[in-house]
Formats: sequence, C-alpha cells, structure tokens
Amino acid sequence: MNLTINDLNKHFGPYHAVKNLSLSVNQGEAVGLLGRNGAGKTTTIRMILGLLQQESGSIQWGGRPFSRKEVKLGYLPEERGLYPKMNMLDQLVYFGQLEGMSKRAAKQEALKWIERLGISEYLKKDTGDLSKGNQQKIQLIAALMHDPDLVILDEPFSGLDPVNAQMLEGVIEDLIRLKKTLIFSSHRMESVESFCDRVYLMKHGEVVLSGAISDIKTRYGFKYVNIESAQPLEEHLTGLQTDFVKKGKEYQLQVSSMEQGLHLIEKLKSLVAIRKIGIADPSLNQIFIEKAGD
Amino acid sequence: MMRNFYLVFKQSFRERVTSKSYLTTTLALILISIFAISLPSLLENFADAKEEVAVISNAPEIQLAELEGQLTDWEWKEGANSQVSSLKEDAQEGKIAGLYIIDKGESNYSVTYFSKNNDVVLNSSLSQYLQAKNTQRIADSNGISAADQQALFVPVAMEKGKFTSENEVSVFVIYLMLMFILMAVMMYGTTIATGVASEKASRVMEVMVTKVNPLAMIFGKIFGIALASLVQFAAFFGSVALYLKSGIVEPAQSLGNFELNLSALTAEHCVYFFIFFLLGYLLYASLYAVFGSMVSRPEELNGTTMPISILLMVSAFSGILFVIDDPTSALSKFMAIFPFTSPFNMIILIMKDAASFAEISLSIGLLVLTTFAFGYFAAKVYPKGILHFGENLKLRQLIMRKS
Repeated sequence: MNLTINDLNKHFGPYHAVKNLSLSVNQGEAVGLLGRNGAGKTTTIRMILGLLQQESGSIQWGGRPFSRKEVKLGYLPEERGLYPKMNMLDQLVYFGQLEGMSKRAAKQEALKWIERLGISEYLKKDTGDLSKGNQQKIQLIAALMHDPDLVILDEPFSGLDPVNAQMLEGVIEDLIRLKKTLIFSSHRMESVESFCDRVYLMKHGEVVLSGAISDIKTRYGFKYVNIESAQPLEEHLTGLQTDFVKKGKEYQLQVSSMEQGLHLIEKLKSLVAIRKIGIADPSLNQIFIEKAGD
Repeated sequence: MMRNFYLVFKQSFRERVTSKSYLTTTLALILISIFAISLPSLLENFADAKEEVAVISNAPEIQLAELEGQLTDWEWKEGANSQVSSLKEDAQEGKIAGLYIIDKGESNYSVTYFSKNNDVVLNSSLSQYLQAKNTQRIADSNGISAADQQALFVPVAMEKGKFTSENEVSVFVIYLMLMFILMAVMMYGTTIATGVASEKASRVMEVMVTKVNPLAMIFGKIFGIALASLVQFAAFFGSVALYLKSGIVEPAQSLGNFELNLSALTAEHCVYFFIFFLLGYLLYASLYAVFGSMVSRPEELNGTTMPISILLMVSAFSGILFVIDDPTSALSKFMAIFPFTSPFNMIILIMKDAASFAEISLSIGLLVLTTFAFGYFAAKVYPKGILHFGENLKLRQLIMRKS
C-alpha cells in the first residue's frame, strides 16, 4: 500500500516545525527523508505514527486516512531504548506480543532474527549489559519481527561497525525485495543512495529538494571537475576565476555544465601537466551540504 | 487495547516483584514488625536477675516458703539471729538488696531493715503482705468464718474507662491506618514516577508509544505496581499473623500510652479501609505518572513530585490534627468527601462511627469518578511528557502543550 502525505503543518509555539509538507511512498519503494538535525524529520515521523497531531493536512494509507490500528508498522526510532534489566529474548517476546503476536509466534520469530543477526550467545543476557551495536540489533528485530507493511527506520546505521552495517544493509535489501513500504532517515548519504529510489530533503520544516536521486543529480545544475597535478594549481585556478576546493592532492572545481568543464580542462592542460582528470555528478552528500547547509 | 493493558500490567508486576529493592523491602518490613512485636517479651527476658533479700523471722507464722510464694520478684534467703552482723555487712556492701528482721508485736508485726538502696517497692510489698497476715491473724482469733475472711481480701475492682464509644476504633489504630495509607501511596507512587522517568530516560518509551495505547500503558503500569504492593502487604500481614498465631510471643496490647486494641475493628471497617486505600492509591498514582513524565531523568523527580507529597501530607495530617477530634464538623465532612483528602479523612469518620452510608457512598462515588477523570487526563498528557526531552516541563506547560 502507498503512504501519501498532503500539505502537513505543525507548529511548536511560534516555531513552524513542518511547513506544507507533501510526500508519497509507494509499496516496495524506499524513500529517504533527509535533513539536518532539527529540520523536521522526526516531527514528520511522529505525525505519521500518530504521536503528534498535525494542525492541517492529511496522512493516508492506501487512499484511506492513516490509522495506527489498521497499519502494521515497524518503527526504529533515532533515540534507542530498551528495558536494561530484561533479557533479550523476554524483551523481544514482550514487544512482539504488544504487536498482536502470540507468545509462541513471537518467540519463534525472535529466535529466527536473533540467529540471523548473530546474537544468539546473548539470549538470556540483560540488554543493559550488551554493546551499543547489539542493542541496536535488538531494536531492529523489535521493529521488524511482526512483519510490518510500513517500515520507518530513523538513523538505522548509527552505532554499527562496518560488519554490522553490512548485515543491516542485507536486511534492508530484503525489506525492499519483500515489497515493504520503507521510509529511511539517515545522515549516511551513501546508504541513502544505495537503497532509496527517491529522497525528500528538508530544511527548516520545508521540503527543499525532492525526487528520484538520478533526476536530482541531473537537474541540480552543476558538476565537479577533479584534477590532480604534479604542480600547485592555486595560482592558475585563481587566474581562471574558478572556485575550487583542495582535497588532499586533488583540486575540486565546480562547473555549471559539461561544456564549461571541458573548456576549463583544455585551458589547464595548456598551462600545467595534468596527472589525473575527471568530471562527475555531485554526490548526494555534496547536494545535501549545499542545500541543507546555512 | 485490553490485551496490551494486560501485557503491560503483567510486565510491570513482574518487573516490580523481581526487583531487589522490592524483595529487600518486603523482608525488612516483616523482620522489623516481628522484632517490634517481640520487643516487650525480649525485654522481659533480658531483665535483671532477681535480687537477693535476707529475712530473719521471729514470728513463727511468717515462713520463708510463703514469702517466696507471695513476693516473687525477689530471691528470699533465710537468716538466723546469729548472722545479723554478717548479713548487715552484706546489705551495706550491696551484696544483697537488704536484711529484713520481722518481729511480732502486740497489735501488729514490726520490721527492722537494713538496705543500702532502700527499695521502696520491696518495702511496700512486704508491708502489705504483713498487714494481710495480721488481719488474718485477728480474724482467726475473733472467730470470723473462712468465707468472710476471704471477702476481706478481695481487691477493689478497678477498671480503666474508655473515652470512646463501643463502636469506635481506638485513635492509635486510626493513626496507624492513616500512616499506612500515606506511606504506601508515597512509596508506590514514587515507584511509578521513577518507573516512568526511567523508561523515558532509557528512551524505551519511544518504542512503547508506537506499540501501546497511552491509556493501556499508564493503567497497565499503575495496576501492575498496585498488585505488587498488595502482594507485599499480604506477605507482610500474613507473616505477622502467622508469627502471632504461633504463640512464640504474647503480642503487646499497648504501645506506651496508646491502646493497640483491635477488638472494635470489624470486617466492614476493613473493607472500607481497603476501598479507600486502593482508590486513593489509584488517584495519586495517576498524578505520580504524569509528574514522572515531566522530568528527563529519575534523579530530578524529588523536586517535581513535591506538590503531590505536600498534598498527601496536608490530607493525612489535617485528619490527624482536626478531623479526628471533631469528626462531625462541616470541615471534617467536606474533607471526607473531597476526593483528594477523602482517602484519609473518610477512614477517620468511618472508624469513629461518624459517617452515614450516604456520605460514604458519595465519597466513594466522587473518588471513583475523579480517579477515572485523572487517569484519562494522565493518559492524554502522558505521551506529550514522555516525548519531550531537554528541560523539565512544568505541569501548566504540559497541559497547554499541543500534541
């Protein structure tokens, strides 16, 4: 089923936390909700979850008003929390039961996930005694064990080492394969690029950029020329009146089009010996910094 | 919703009864009570050994065996006239409590005694005993019948009168009841507030609020902890009752000047006490839950829950200071019907036989309504509180804050 949000607004006192927000997520699609801290992502997610009441606008699930009771929802909040003095299995069974599962089914499903995420050895350990990464896995299991239709993952990679991050990537790929409707909020732009079909970039409560990632990159209107030379290029680049950033041995130049890029390369070639050269689309991270930054 | 209420209720109950603090408190309560009950008997057992008293009787009818049988608080030792000087020395050095030489005079006995500490109780007891012996002697010589002689020694019946009527429970027992409600509500209310604040601080609330309806969550928690408290009280009262029934000690009937007599306490009293305790607990527990949701960390609870503590104290102590002395006054009636003060003050009126059935029903009805209203209010503002982090919220902010 599709999630459709239209013209959502929310104030906290005089602060307009979410302004006229509209977005949609299709079944089997992963959509990235991006923005700096305080951009309005969590407020939006809380309105979807029904924890906050919107002042105007609508949230629909499959064309009908969104009701928490009718949607099987899996939510991994940004702020992680578990009962520290409860063991892992009991805790997962409790969370599963609260989602309507029978005790037996919750236990079976919890054990399956525990096995998959490689934390079987901590089965009877209090969660407060586990590492942050393992606690994160328990939270992920709690969000997914009841086979939700709508999955909201808020910063799922924070606190995970590269091995566990790869394990989580596998889980997310499975969710997409299983045609779940997925909202994904993260500051790890490479993950957003690899999983999400579309993104919504929020700033001060507003969507400032949205659409398919490839389209955004194409229409964003600039490219980067990366140049590596044996000689310093600062003087020449200043002479050419070009903005640049030095990153290690490389110089990164921002150009408005491919033509301008090629023209600049030709000019530089005539002035210095170029060791390495390339023209690339901006990364999502660069677009994020550009659009979300002040 | 009922299923999730039950799950939260079960979880809260299990979490509470398996906690170390719960088990320690229960055990400590039982042991302290058993110790307090046993204290008078223990003190008696540890009392000083009987003091030795030497007696030289020059009256044949005053026999050592009879003295030992009548004046049992002392160890009697028979002496001879030849031992007077050595026994006087013993008395002077404090080795014995005294030397008592009994002679038979014309009209009555006479006693010469030597005592370092001059035991007034011993002197008076011996004097009374000898006076009775003399009376018996005179009665015998005048041919008074045995029955009349017996009547001469029947003591005057002295009975302490009661200030209260037959149906009233003693003031001290009422104090105990009020203190019990006050302590229990504060103790378990604080447990609820701490539980909410801990869940908020550990951020597990972020997960819970998406899974459970706030009404089910708050009432599940309150009832779960209420059941844990009732189990604790049952364990406490059960253990104390079993201990008393075992006959190991004789329970004290008073504590200082206060009567501990429970004979006026009826089953009806106990049922009302239970109802007002439970409703009072539920009402204040809702408040504690709301206040618990206002802080970011459990350590900040003390200052935040202060208004509830003050309200509880005022309710309990207004009862002790005013209502108990004048339970029929208009103020007392108001305090016994107003929902926040009624759990304490209606108990006083009931125990003092000063409340009509209509007044009790009105008080219970208002208390039930207020408890539900506050439970509903708590469930409404609770999610706003638990999702707010950073600076502590004030109650006004919490109420005014839009969800």
